Amino acid sequence: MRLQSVWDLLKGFGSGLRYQSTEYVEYELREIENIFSLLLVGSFIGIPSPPSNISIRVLPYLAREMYVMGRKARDMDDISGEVFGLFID
Amino acid sequence: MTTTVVIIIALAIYVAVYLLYGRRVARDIVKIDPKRQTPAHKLYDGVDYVPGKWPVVFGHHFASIAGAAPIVGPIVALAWGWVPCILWIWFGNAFIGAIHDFMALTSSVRYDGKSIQWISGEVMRPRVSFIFSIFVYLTMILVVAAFANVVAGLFIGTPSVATASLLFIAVAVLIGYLLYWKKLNLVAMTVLGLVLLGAAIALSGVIPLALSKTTWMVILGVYIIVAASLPVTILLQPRDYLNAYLLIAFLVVGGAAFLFLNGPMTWPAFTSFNAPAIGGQPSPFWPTVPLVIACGALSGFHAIVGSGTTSKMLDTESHALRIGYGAMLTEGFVSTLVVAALGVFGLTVAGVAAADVGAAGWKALGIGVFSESYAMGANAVFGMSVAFGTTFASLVVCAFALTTLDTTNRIARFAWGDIFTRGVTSEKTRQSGAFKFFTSKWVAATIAAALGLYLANTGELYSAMWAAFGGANQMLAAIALMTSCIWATNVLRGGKRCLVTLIPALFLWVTVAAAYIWYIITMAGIVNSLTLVIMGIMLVLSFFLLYEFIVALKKGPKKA
Repeated sequence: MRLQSVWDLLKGFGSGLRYQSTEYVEYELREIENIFSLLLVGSFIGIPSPPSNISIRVLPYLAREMYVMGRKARDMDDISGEVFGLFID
Repeated sequence: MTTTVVIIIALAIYVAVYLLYGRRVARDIVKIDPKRQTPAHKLYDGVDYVPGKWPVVFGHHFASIAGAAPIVGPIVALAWGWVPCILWIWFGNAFIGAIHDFMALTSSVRYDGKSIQWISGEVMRPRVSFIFSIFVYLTMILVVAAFANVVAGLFIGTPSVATASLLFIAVAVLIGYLLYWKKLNLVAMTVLGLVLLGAAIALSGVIPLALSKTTWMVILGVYIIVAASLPVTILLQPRDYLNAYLLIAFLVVGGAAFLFLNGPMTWPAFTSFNAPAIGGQPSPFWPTVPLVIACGALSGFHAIVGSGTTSKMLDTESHALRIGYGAMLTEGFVSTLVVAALGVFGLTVAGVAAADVGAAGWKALGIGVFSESYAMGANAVFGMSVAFGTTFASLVVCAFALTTLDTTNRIARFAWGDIFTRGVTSEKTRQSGAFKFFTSKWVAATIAAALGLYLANTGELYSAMWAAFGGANQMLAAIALMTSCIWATNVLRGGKRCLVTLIPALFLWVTVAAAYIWYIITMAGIVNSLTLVIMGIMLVLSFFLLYEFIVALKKGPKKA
């Protein structure tokens, strides 16, 4: 049992170290997702996008993106924080 | 005294401060509550806010905070002797660095994952946050200068490391290509990458790449501009992935070697209070030691990492202590290993007499001396070839330094745009061609790299530039600590218990401000005048920040 715990700890530690290497990819993926969301629903705020009827049709599939966009909008006053957090000392 | 005793004392101190001090701060000041929802649960979105198992979060946080800096700092600081050096690492770790990291992490958790920079604007005034951005940008330029100096010095001192590093980059690009474009199996590619890495280390001794410092500076400049602007999957991601294995091997081999070596510490225990640690000039231990040993004892960047990403991954508040406080102590342990390695083999490898250490004309040891000392320890305990071990250890330091260089340039690029966007409020100006030109990614990356490499031109005295970076980093830590102190006093209403943040914050501010003044006076003529201007700007800004801190502290808690 104790050996299993130590193994889990080391495994988790190793995953954490490797996770660090995918951080930038995840960050860029998130940015691309944001752009994708804006492209689809941007017409509601005047950004040239697909016609509103198409946007409304795809809206149910964008629940998660809408939520993330809302949170991103809330965090607009702290956009540096996330990027600075990617620093490696 | 032997290495085994040093390492056991270090472990005993770390366990004791963690249990007796860290836990108390967590319980009495922050009032850690495992039932309180963390941002990872409260704002869970599967994107930014995702709870992680604590060993995973710990590993991620540790990999972000432990780079080349905790290795380089002690190497330079050994001019004062190994005892003051290790005492500062342990003291700084336990009472300043770990508290700083823990408070930054927990404050961010309580502010829904906001960065320490944002929190500084919230608990003090919004302009503090803007100054924080300027500080970060200037620090980034000094980071480029300091690390480019370190890498170029290492390449010149040990040309085989240059070959190994370039081959490592080639291996990383190849593995990235096979993984992302050819979609080959991850495990197979990992094994292939590690085998090629071993072959690169073995091959590097056959074709050492000996070039001048200027040539290396140009190559590094091109490298960081390109690496900062390329898609991350081409170089950064596969390289960082392989780096994780290098770090694990480096820590396991080094930790075990010096724990079991039990070699006598032959390096002088103490040389002089005024040993020429920085730029070959007599450097008073106080206030200049934090400029030299930055990340091994405390680092402002840890607050940025902790509040930027780690706080969004915390599963429960009760993990904050082991991740925020514990990871800093682990980093201090890395610095302790560096002191132990050089303590035993440093004199032999550097070929200097004990009496010459810290004497007039002393120049900081190169990274190569540490790498060879590390290799000799690994050779004595595991029988690893000294040549292989030296290149391996140098490659690890170099890989971290290069990672820091290109991530710094990438972030500096962003910080540049951020400062411009926040500083220029007129929409008309923002739409102008000049604004777009100055904030474009290539121009922003080139400006940061060019400024950093211009400042790096300090001849053989890399320690002078290293101290400038250390000073900027430590003042960032002071700002983060001040922020934490205001948070603990005005928001958590910790009363007198907040002295555990107030005392280190003020001690650090006074120490670093005094060190800035010393640096500007002493380093005139040794470092580039632009470095002195940057240090001067930071000094002025730090007085302004102290004023803001006192105003916020006097104002007291906001009335409900």
